[in-house]
Amino acid sequence: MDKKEFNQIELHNISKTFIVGKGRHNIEALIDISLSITEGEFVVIYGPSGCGKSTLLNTIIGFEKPTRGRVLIDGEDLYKLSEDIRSEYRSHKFGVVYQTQNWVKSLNSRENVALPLIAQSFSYNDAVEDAERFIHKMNLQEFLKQMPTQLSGGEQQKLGLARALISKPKIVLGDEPTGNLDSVSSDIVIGFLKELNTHYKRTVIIITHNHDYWNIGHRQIEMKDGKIIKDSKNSG
Amino acid sequence: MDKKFLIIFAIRNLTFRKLRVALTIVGMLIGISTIIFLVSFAFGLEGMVKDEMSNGNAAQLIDVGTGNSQIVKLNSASIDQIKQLSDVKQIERIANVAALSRTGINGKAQDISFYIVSKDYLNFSGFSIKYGEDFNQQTTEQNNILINEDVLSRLGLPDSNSVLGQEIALDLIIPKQITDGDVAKFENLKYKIIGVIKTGSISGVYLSEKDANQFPIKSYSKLKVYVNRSGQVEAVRKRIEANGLKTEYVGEATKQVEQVFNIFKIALGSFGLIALMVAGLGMLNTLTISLLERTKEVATMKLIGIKSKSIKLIFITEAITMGLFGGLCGIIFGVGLSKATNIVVNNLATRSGGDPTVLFITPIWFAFLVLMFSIVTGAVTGFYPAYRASKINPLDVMRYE
Repeated sequence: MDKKEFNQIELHNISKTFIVGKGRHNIEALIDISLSITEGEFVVIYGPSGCGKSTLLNTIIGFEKPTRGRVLIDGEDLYKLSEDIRSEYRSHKFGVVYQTQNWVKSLNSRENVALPLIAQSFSYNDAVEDAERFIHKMNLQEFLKQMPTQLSGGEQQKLGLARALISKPKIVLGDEPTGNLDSVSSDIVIGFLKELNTHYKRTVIIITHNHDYWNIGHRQIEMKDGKIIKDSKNSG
Repeated sequence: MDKKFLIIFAIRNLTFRKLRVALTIVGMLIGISTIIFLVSFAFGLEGMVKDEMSNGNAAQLIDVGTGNSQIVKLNSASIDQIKQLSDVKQIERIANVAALSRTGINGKAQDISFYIVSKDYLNFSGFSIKYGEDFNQQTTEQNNILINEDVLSRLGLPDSNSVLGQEIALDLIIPKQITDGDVAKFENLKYKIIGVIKTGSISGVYLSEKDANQFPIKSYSKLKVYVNRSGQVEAVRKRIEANGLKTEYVGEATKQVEQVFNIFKIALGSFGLIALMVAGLGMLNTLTISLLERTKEVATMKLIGIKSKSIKLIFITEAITMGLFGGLCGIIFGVGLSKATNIVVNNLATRSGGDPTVLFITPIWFAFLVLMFSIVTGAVTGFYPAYRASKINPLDVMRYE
């Protein structure tokens, strides 16, 4: 069997129901979703608002416990792990970039970027040193000691990318990573993700509304009403 | 989680909300400094009372007497017996003799107490010389006496330096309890005053034992037994009392004083404790508000992979840091205030002719204890916000946002 075909992420019959209003109203965010993503794939997920894309992403990273079904990451059943071990697992395996970056306001840019390493019990000095290196790679070195909220939206998104990548995660996920950016900044961020996938063989999963990026990956997944309605591979 | 990061993060968060944190620390400062000020005052008073009660050796001294017994005597045989006891370092003697002064107010004769004392007896009694010198400094000249300032006026003598070197004539009557035989009388003995003892010491006239060879002293009125260590006092007392003698120990009274002052310290400390409790509530409030403002931050940290117990640790470290700063500032302020008050009180006392005293004492162990208490207060008040922070569900926060 080809080594490339190793299923890094496996979702088996995942359903997620949110109970609203003291149990009188149920919202089925995900309905019986099964999905396999192999190592090194670049997957783009799209679909209308409220179709369950973000819930699916949060389920993959171990945040949203499904009502039914199993999530396997590298063969490990994610929701059988304790919450603390899942946190540790998350800080090692996943790097996540959101539409809006949230920062710890009392820490400067390099310290915020260093946080995932600190979560992994790195010493403060080592973590900050690594963070500086990553910030240099993103060409944001002039903002090292500035507070992240003093940076522009595009700069903050790049800094968020540095934070997501500092722990060298095998899987990088983006929930509308370009949602708040102009086209130039969006292209830069998508370019980084593309480079991560092609040069560093990272698995990349992004959610985007932007049509221009639906074809940039190996695979497109379209969702509607909590279900996958289309799962196709791009040619070439 | 790295300790250095925890400390840096705690300090950053505290300095990020300067005014609120400063006000909280001022609250802690008031509580802690009140405790320090009031309890130091109690320590100072206790020290003053203990000083009044005893001299420096009191904890190792046992007073030995015969009580009302006519059989037991404090003679050379019983002194030798006590000397044999292990841990007894020194024994000093005093014999009470009745005296009649030939001179006095309006030329009338006066009854006065006359004591014949061994070399260090007066030192062990905690006396202090007002004018002149004591026996230890005296020359070979004999028949020198020390006189208590209370007695001067009764003898019609001035309370000043001029009394030194003056002679007084006394008739001595040595009772049979001292002679172990008949009463012995000596008339018109001349003694020279070489020193005046301050009021507060035993009232009377003192003659050194080595100048009393002519008197038939066989037994003493009282002994002062000096033991090696205060820990041995009780054992030595028991063995002395086994011989039928009576003992007294100033340490007993000191212990009672200590007990009274311990209650006093607790009572005063409690006032400060109330202030500290209010400050603790202020701290709880500050930390809880800080948490409410930072729920998004906590959610972000959790999304990054920081564990719940590390989040708890972050908040507790912040609370402890606040407690530590509040405690340190409170101790510095409290000690400063005590010292300043002491200086002012002493200035007033000196101006009105009194002696300067140490009114406030802050033992280092007590300051350390208060600091620990302040840190614990911080940790305790930090626990609830820390627990709440650890329970934050990041997705709920993000969805709400």
